[in-house]
Amino acid sequence: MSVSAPERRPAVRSRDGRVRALVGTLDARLTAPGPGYRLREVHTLVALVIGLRLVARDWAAIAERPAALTDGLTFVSWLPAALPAWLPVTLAVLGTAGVALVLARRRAHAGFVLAWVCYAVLCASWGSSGKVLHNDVLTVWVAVPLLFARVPRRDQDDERAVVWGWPPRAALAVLALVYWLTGVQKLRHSGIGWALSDNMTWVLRQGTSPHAAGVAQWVADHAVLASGLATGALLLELTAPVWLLWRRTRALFALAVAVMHASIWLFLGIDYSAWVLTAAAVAVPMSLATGRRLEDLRPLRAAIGRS
Amino acid sequence: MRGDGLSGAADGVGREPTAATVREDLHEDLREDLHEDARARRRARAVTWTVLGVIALGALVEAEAWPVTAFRLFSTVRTADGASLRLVVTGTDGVRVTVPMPADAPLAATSHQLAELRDLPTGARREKVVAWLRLAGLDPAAFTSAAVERTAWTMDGETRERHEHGPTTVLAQVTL
Repeated sequence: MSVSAPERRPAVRSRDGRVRALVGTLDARLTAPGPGYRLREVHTLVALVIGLRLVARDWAAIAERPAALTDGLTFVSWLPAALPAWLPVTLAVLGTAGVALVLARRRAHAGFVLAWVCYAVLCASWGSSGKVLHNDVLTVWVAVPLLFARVPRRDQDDERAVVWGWPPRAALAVLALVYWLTGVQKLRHSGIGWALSDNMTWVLRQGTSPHAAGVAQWVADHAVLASGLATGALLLELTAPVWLLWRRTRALFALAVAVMHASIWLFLGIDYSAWVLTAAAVAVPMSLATGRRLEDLRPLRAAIGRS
Repeated sequence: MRGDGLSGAADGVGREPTAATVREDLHEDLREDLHEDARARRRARAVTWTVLGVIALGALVEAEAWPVTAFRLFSTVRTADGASLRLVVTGTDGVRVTVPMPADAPLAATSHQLAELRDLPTGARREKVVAWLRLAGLDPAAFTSAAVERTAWTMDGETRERHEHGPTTVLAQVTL
C-alpha cells in the first residue's frame, strides 16, 4: 500500500491537470477578444429569428384556451390561466418593435431585451396546454447570453475586444449543449436501440406527413434507410460540440441540422424551423474567418442568383 | 473601449502636450482597457457557465419548467404497439359519445392532459371535461358522466391500420 499510493498520485495529478488545461483552454477561447461586427451579425440574426417567429403565428389563439385547460409549469405560470386576446397580440407587436430597433441599430440592446421577453412570454403561454413544446426553446436559450451583451455602436464595428468576443461564443456553446443533450437523452432513455432498432420505422409509420406521406412510408418500409436516418440524426446531435468547436465545420453543422429538421418536417409534419434558423444565425457568422464579414457573402449570393 | 489612446492629451486647455503627458494618457487608456477586459471576462464566465449549468441541470434532473426542460425529443423507442386515450361522455339518454379533441394549436396539445386527469381533484376534473365539451360544441348539461378510456392497439406494418385489442381500461371518471 505504501508503495502503490505514491505511484497513483502522478496519474491523479495528471488527470486533474488535463481537466484544468481543458477548462483553461475553453475559458481562453470564450474570453478572447473578438470583432464588434461579429457580435452585431449574430445579435441581428438571432433578433431576426425572434421577429420571424413573432409575426408567423396567430398568438391571439392563446386566448381561446379555457383557464381549466391551461396546464404545465413555465416561468410565466404566475400569470392568470386565461389571457385576454389583446395581451398576446400586444406582446407580439411590442416584440416586433423591439426587433425593428435592433435592425435599425437604435437602442439595439433594449430592443433585443424587449423582443426576447415578449417572445419568451408568448412561447411559454402558447406551450401551457399540457405538453412540453420544444419548437422555440432553442432560440430562447441561445438568445440569453446576448441579453447580457453590450451591442457595438456603428463606429465600434471594427474594434476587437473581449466585450464583443464572448457573447457570440457563449451563444455557440448553448447551441452545442442543447443539441448534445437531445442526443444524450435518446441514449439515456433508449440506448443505442434508438438508432439501430426499427424505432424510426415505427416513428414514420405512426406519424402523419402532410407533405410527403408516400416518401415517409417508402423510407419506413426500407429498414436500412430508416435506421440510417436515425443513426445520422443521433450522431449529429452527439457530435454537435465537435462540429461547433472548429470554425470551418460550423456552417456545415448548420447545413446538416437544416437537412435533419427538413426531413422531420417532410416525413412527420413537425416544424422545427426555429431550430434551423437559430443554428444558422449563430453558426454561419461564426464560421467566417476573422476579417470576413457576413456582408462579404453578397457577391457569392449574387453569383448563385446569376447561375 | 479601444480608442486612439491620445484623446486625453488635448484635454489640458492652453497646455501643449508633452511626451510625458502623452505617455501618461496612454498608460491610463491602457489601464482602462485592461480593467474593461477583466470586467468583460468576469461577465462572460458568469453568464456562460450559469446558462450552460441551468440547461444541463434541467436535463440531468429532467425538470420541466419551460424554458428549463429535459430536452427529450423523440427519446423513447417506438414499436408496433401503442395505446390511445379517449374522452367518452354518457348522455342523459344513456348514449355514449366520444368527445373530439381540439385539432388546432395551441389547444390540440390539451389532449395530453387526459392521461393525468385521474390524479386531479374531482372539481378540477369536472372543469376540464366541461371545457373540452364546450370546445367540441357539446352542451355539458346534456351529459351525466365522463370517462377517460385507454385502449391498447397494434399497428399493421403493411396496411398501417391500428387494431385495437385487449380490455378497455377506465383511467378516470367524472360525474357531470
